[in-house]
Amino acid sequence: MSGSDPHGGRFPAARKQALLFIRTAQPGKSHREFLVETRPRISVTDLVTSVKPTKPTSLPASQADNYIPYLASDSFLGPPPSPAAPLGALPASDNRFRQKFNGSETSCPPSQFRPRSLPAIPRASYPRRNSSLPIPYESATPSSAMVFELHVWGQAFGLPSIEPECLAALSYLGFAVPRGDWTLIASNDVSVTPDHILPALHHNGTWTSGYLNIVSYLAQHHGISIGENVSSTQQADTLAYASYLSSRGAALVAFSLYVSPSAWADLTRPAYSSILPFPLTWTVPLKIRASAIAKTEHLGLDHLAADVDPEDGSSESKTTAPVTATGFLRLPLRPTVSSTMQPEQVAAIRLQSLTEDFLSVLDELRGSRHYFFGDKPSALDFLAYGYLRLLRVRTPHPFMEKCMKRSQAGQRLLQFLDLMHNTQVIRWQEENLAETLPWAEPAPRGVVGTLGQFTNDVLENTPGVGDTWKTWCGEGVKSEDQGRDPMQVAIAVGGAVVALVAVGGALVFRSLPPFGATTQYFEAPRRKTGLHQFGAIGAMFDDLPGFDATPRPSHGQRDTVYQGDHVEVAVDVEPEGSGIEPPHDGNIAEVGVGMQAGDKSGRV
Amino acid sequence: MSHQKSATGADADVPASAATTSSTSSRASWFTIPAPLARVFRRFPLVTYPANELPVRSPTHRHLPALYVFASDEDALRGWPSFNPSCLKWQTFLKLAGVQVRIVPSNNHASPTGALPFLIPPSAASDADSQLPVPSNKLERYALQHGPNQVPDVAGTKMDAYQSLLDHRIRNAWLYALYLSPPNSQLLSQLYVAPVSSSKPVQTAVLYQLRRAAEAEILQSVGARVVDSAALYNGAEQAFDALATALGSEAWFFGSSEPGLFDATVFAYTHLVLDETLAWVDTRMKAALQKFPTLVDHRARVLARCWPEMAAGSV
Repeated sequence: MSGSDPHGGRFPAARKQALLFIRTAQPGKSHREFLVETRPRISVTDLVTSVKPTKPTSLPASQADNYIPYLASDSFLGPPPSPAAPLGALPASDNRFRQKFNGSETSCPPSQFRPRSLPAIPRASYPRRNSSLPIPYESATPSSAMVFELHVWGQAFGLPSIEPECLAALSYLGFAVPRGDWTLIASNDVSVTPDHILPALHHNGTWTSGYLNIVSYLAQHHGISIGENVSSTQQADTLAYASYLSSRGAALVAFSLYVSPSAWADLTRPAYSSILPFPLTWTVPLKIRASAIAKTEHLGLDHLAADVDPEDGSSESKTTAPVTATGFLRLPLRPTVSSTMQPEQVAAIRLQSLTEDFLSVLDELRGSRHYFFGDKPSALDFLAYGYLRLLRVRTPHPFMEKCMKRSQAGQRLLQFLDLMHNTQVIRWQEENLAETLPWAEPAPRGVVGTLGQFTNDVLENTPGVGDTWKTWCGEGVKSEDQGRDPMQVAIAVGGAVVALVAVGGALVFRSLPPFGATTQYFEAPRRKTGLHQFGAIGAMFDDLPGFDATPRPSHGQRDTVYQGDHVEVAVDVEPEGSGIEPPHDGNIAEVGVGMQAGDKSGRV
Repeated sequence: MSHQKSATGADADVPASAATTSSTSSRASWFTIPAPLARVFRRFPLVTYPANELPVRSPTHRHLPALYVFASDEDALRGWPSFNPSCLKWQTFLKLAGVQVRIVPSNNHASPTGALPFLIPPSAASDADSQLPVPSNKLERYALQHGPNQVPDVAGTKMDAYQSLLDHRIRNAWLYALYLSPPNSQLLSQLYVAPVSSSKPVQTAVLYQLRRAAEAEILQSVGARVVDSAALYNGAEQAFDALATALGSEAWFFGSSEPGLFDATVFAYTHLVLDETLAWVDTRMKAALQKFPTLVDHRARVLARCWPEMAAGSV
């Protein structure tokens, strides 16, 4: 195909991809049935294995618009945003391609193609309870390109994932997608996806991030959906409650596992340490905790994270010396009621009402039904499961768990969690995580990648530099809207130079002697030995010959302290005891002053 | 002098009132203006000017509680809607509850909590509590206590879930549209930056701070690293879709007979997005909203109820 391409083989890969996509999206068939049906006629697997995912942007914009798979993030529940573009709307330059379509390669008439919008795809239902229904293509091993890769945060607390949405996504895929069709990769690295959000689904070169987006991607492109005939009210409710879960539910999970210092120190931080490679354990968990604290801010719970380090909190009261840095005695702190309370207890009243509100909102939606929307599980059930299951994790101060057990709504939701497991809606088992989930090894990041990310994290946290660095790395507003202007670069460079100069100046300034002040030197007393170091009484004994340890200088000294043209002042210093001994206490050196005045030659 | 001395000396031990009368009478006798001068001074004042008018922005009804919001001076005087969604939400809710307030244009620095709106009840000297400002999270109770209209109470827990749509998806899109979208920067300067200061460097700094704050809010809410405008607008459109579905063919949300707090919250965004007087250049959010005529009608209903004069003007 590429050999005959007059365009010099620039687009063929992308076209193959488009071709594949269109075929799978034939209306009226799920992609599996269609694959099976068309296998004898066209070599889909050949195509698939030969296709290398190409960025659709390598196409001219007008064509790319028609060919790229319609991204799930565009729309979750509503109708696709743009009206279906019939094939006739293809650019005229593409006639050759269209002819090929109509020609020998495929028997599908073009009228069945819906390149951009896929409203007519039915939502296929799969055998769920067991795999007794024949799945014909499973024997024809699906090629690796067809496998959905789900990237998540790794295992913790005996659960497959430490993050609620990841937990929901892997449970959903476990339920909706047959086992051979997907793999679970604990990549623990947000940088694998362009959006920097896990969970992320990777399929045919397309990345989809976030639970709802993954669900709608599967539904719209592959007909994989578990709720048939979902009414529009249910769709609206799903969106609203998903939003509620990811704001209020996420804040409660963040409080219970991240903000609470004891849970963080004893549970969550060790969990992250075990799933991350070495130097990243110093940076990544802190970043995650900071964002978790920010999530609880609007609930007024963030201040409870004040003693971030458990060491800080304990050392303050126990191990410090009873003297402050300035030398004053520190009075022993009498423990007040509030200082002995755990943060969970401080916020207990507020936290309890927040938790009970949260639980009752979910419980009222579910009512007396098995699942949120009736007798069959829906996408919302898995999301609620993800959050509630992590709220149930037993922390050192299991506040949430108690709260759930105490309130009626909480108890009913605990039953809901058990129900999800008992009815095999949640396919994985806590006792056997390794075998009940299709784990796959993540691509190794390598030493360079790890160190690179570590450096990046460190730079981001450097005060003064961090913000500039983040902006430089493309964080913030997407560049297509904002256009990086040269002023920013100039400001960044200028700022760096100014900062360097300031630091240098500060160092120089500190090394200068203080202005206008007399310089004073304090020296330790010369005589270290001897009894006089024991005070006045010691000094009395010091003069006794037997206790004298210092060897005395044998002869006197003579110093010339001033020498002018005509005057010379010299001082004779005689060692103690060499002359007439006056009654003294030993600290006074006997000084004899011989003064010479007038002519150098004439001595007085 | 001698006369005075003798007079005061003589009156030394009489009651004070008698002393003053006698001293004034004596002073009057001494300082009486001579008749010709008195005649001249009696001609004054030659002209009496009328009293100065009060400043235009001064309140006309001092006995009313004052609601401090983001608003321009003229709009505040007429009691028109604020251009800040959270201020407009409470302004609308107070109107729905029938609480008469006067609008005071203000900014965050004036607020005891650091956020607008807040309300200062009419001061009664006897009651110290009445002079405490009411922050926005207690405005609902205040309105229910002081308003004559019965506002329907929270209709079940569905409101919480749908509220989170407004607080996240729609608010993020709003923040992007107003603060970060480059075509709308003119509007942003007009609403939030120009009133702060007329000095160019100060305006630049304020603009920068506002933008960074909005960006941080969005990133924290979305959890992403990059603010993607298309995704934000799509999220808002889905949220509008869900809200339109929830509204259905009813007049007010959640099937209540009268508009309530949730209607006010929705109105605060839909009104500002659709408002013709705001010079939106990037109208993607407006386009997303206009796909749902029920929400547009809902906004018109609330507007007609709260600001009939504006509704008449716009239609």
